[in-house]
Amino acid sequence: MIVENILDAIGGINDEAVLDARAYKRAQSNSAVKWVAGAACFSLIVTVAMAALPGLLKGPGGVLPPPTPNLGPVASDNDTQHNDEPTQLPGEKELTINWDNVVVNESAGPALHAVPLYRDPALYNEEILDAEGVRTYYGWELAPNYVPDGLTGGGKAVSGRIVQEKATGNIVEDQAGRGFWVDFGEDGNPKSNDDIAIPRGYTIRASRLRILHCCLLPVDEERTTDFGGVPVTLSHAALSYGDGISNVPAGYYDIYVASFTLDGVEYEIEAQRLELEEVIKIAASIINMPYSEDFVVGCL
Amino acid sequence: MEDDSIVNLYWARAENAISETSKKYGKYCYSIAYGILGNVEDADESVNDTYLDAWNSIPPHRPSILSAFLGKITRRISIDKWRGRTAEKRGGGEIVLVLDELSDCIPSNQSVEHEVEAAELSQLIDCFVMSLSPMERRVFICRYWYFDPIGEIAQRFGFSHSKVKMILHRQRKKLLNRLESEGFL
Repeated sequence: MIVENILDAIGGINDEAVLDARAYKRAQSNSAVKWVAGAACFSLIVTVAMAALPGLLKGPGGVLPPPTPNLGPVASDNDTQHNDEPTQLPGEKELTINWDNVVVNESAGPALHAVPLYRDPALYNEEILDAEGVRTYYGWELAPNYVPDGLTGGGKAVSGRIVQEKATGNIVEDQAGRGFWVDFGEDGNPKSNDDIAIPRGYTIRASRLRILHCCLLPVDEERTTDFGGVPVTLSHAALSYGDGISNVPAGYYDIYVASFTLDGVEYEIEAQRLELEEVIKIAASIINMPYSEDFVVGCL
Repeated sequence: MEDDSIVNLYWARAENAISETSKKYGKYCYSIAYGILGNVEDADESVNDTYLDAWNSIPPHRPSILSAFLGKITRRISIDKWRGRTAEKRGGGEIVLVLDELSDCIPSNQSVEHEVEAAELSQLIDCFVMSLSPMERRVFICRYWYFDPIGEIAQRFGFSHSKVKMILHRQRKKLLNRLESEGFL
């Protein structure tokens, strides 16, 4: 009879959550369907480009000095959330995020990916960063302490690209990336390990110039979630994937993007087929880097 | 008609309170009842009982969310009706499957029926559900509050059947852990 007690207890779940569950309808606009292939490709392109850059673009090998020395991400000292709920509980070592405060911006679908700007070698120097270069420039190797089960940071590991204007010495482009995926092909690119063509995993990208662009279409009123004083923009879209034979979607998968700026560096985590909780944990482990083994996501 | 106006009809003891309720929330209540009972006649009866219960409850109640208020009544009445049936008459309602699934959370050799207060259990379940991610929470509620079939949930959320089953399996496992850690088991 205890099972029936649980059944009765479930009847006491709060009204808003019950109505929300019934009212929810997956976003499935025509535009989302139209951009199926684009979405899947774009997600891969970002990763592949980052992973393949060292092989494709052999730079002089030098590393440009970072604009400002940096020790890597650190947790904010701000210990209160905007809604006056305590963030660092208990003590200083935990970054606690209440699900009630998590806001996800529901995007209509993938954004168009722009053609890379051509940089005339006569006017610009291009530097390809290896792991050491990324560590020097960004202060760390873009390897969050939290990596969801089953993912690995193999392949071409971390890489980056910096473009400097010769005339002024100004850096005009600086992006680095690192992928964590279920599997990697011999070419170092991520690949799926199941019958769904879309690989499971995520890419973290960084830019000191803050020139990253979310792969998802923006929403009208973008809202952020407070991660211990760091506003994080969480975006989501459910995209379909095909079976490679017909135009009929074989299924749907989630893309979550977490964007935030930390210590002057813009970060973007783009996750495919990961749960929101995992994306939150990844972001939290970066923001709370010094104590990232102790973060908690749960109900307060 | 706005919910406030319908509630005012109940308070005024106007008979059209029920017809207006039926017009606006009849299908909603029926879908809940049918999900539990799997039988048209019984579901209709539960919905009618819901209106009667609402008529008797308002006043003194003034529900802030009428749909949730009616939904809870329908769910409770439908479950009670199901309990009143003999095992042979249980039929094909989802409740049989749901109860079977939820039994994962309870070791067969244990019973806490007399050890916990229903309110405490309800509070724990509510806290547990609110600790889930929004998407997981919706899946849980669709299955265990509304008794939606797996296939319907999969279609609504764009998941495969196996993914829905996996999500629910993980949730039951987490719930079992929570019940154990909180001393309910």
